[in-house]
Amino acid sequence: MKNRLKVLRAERDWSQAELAGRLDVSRQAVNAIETGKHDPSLPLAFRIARLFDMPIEDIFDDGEAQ
Amino acid sequence: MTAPGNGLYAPRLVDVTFLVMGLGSAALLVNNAALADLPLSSSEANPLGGWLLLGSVALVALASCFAHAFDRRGWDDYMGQIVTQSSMIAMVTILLSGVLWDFLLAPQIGLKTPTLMIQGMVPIAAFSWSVGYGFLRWKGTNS
Repeated sequence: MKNRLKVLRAERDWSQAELAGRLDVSRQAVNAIETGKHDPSLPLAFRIARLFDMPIEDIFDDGEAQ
Repeated sequence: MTAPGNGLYAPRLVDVTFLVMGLGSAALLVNNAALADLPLSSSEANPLGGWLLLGSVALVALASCFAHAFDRRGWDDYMGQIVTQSSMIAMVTILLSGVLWDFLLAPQIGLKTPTLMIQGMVPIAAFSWSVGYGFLRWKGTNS
């Protein structure tokens, strides 16, 4: 699943560690999501969406969107 | 949730734990722990043995459920998925490697079966879990 996490983080000039702290996850988790090695669970996806004040589908793309 | 970077579930600490577990269990396997020739289950000699075994497994499984709930609250999304997914890899490996060893490899080198008793199963479980963890840590949970 593709995502815009790296772009959104860069727009806010946050480091991976800073974003990890805001999401209450490890820096490795942020790195794995950004590089597409890991899809977050639904609760974490909601936390990410709330943090960036965006709908989940604007951040994550499962390739099924019309 | 605890702070993942600093606590018991910090990824680096989990990495080291699985590295030590993997190397230790590999050393046990290489040192022929799997070849221990043990008697069969005590349930054959004592009719209470089967019930005792069943009860103890049920108790340990129940305790593991509570331990897992504790872990789930402690680790973060990524590490939790890696540890749980690699445990499934380990379970399949235990089953398949047991069949491979007992029915194919052990007879080829003149060992009588069954040879994979508890001294062998524990390091196999630990080693295969560590391999699965390392692979998923390297390739990610989407591999």
